[in-house]
Amino acid sequence: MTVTAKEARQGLDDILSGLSRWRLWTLLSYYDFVGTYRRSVIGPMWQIAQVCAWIGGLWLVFGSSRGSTTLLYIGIGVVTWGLIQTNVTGSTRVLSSSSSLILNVPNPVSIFVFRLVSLNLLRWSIQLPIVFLLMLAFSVPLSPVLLLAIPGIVILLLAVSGAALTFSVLGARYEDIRFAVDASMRLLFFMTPVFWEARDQPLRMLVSEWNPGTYLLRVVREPLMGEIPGMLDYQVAIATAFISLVVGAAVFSYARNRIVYWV
Amino acid sequence: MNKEPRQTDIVVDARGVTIDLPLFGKGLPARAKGSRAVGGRLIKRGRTSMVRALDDITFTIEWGQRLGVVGINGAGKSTLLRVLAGILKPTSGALTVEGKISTLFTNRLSVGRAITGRETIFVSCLLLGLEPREIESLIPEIIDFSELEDYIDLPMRSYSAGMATRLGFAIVTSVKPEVLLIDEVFGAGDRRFQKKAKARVMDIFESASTMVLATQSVGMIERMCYRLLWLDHGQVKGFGSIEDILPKFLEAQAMDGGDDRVAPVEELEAS
Repeated sequence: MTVTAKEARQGLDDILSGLSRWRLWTLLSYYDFVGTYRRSVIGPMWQIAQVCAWIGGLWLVFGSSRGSTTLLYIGIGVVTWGLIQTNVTGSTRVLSSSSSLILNVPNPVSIFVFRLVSLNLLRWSIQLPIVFLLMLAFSVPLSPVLLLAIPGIVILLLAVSGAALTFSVLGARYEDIRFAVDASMRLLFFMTPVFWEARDQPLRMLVSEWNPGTYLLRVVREPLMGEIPGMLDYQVAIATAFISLVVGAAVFSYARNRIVYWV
Repeated sequence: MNKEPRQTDIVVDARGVTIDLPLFGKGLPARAKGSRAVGGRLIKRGRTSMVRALDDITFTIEWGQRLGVVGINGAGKSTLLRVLAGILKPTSGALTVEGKISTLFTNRLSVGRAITGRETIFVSCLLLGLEPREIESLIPEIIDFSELEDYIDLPMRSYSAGMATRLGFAIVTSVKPEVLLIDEVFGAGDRRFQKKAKARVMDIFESASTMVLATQSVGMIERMCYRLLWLDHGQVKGFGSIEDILPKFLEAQAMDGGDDRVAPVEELEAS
């Protein structure tokens, strides 16, 4: 099956008209979000508790020997990493789990990817109080530098959206991709300086330097720790976001008309 | 019956439309061809096995036409409607469709069980492509038609299957269509509601300019359609006026001993 230029343009149209239906996918994701917790008593607090346990555990085992400020480092790292991890792993299943809506109502297929990213952003945003509390506890100075975290998060979001588009297609076509991505993300978590720092250790430096995740994390984490990310951090992070979006748009456009055959 | 369609305006023009649905992860035995009773032909292209769900379908629908689509299970009726709706793109062949398409393919839009009926209405209508302002004006009517009353503010998980269907039916039939594609959505709710549902579907039929209806119900076809497309294993077995095609279709069904595949007219008239 070859893909003509016309089909590729239809695929791109799907993404653009999907974006323009933002009202639909934000509402769907909001209902997904409240739906998860509607019958629980303390609702989203469970998620906060879970992240706190994860941060606390990692700090106790890997960070406490390096002093208490690593708690801040690990805390922001784990919360930020969550945004990457949930989008990439979730995307591999998002199209097949939406198959009934895809097959029965003519709509852009990309809305289901955007619904996922939007849901994960919502879930992520309720973890932000953890970050704020940590910043308060470690008296990160209140300065304009903190605002740099916002463009950092935007860059990160663009990067994961591109990845979500790519993996949504691959996951719909190849079931193995789902398991492969689950496993790889776990590996990547340990290969990325989420809870460790390179600190002149050659192996760690090598791993973190060649990992785009390092830079995506840094453009968010550094400002929140009161420091300005380096030029290289921005260059690599923006390049990663750009490439991820181009690849995502290309893969999705290429496969758009096939997706319905696969889900 | 409705006014004769103007022959000049072509709404749907399908030429040699073919749909091959790939079967992943399952190699077919070398000589597998399919089933005489159901489904499309099983084919192989290279190493991939496929179901040829539609095989070289050519037909046109004029503006104002009412086309019935009949065939045994797996003949390609739903697939054809999905192609016309633009959901499935043909593997090969050319298809042009003019006009604003509305689909009645399912009366259960699954948007979550934790949200209330009222929330379901709003988000489902967005899914169907309506504008928020239109939706606000439709909501009271949808609630009223579904007869769910106080249940409308309870989560969907508290609904019985029939209640959810009532609501889904009320939602999907609240749109005023131009070109309407319907895939048997009449089994809505209990007996009393079915009567209401049928009247509502008839109303939509009247308001839609052009309609394609896939159904097993001969009564529905006799009443609603004036042309018939008969699909068999993904191929066009007959295409023409009801008077020409319906008797042949029924005869073929009877010869297969397949009377049970077509709901008898009396049963549908009764409800």
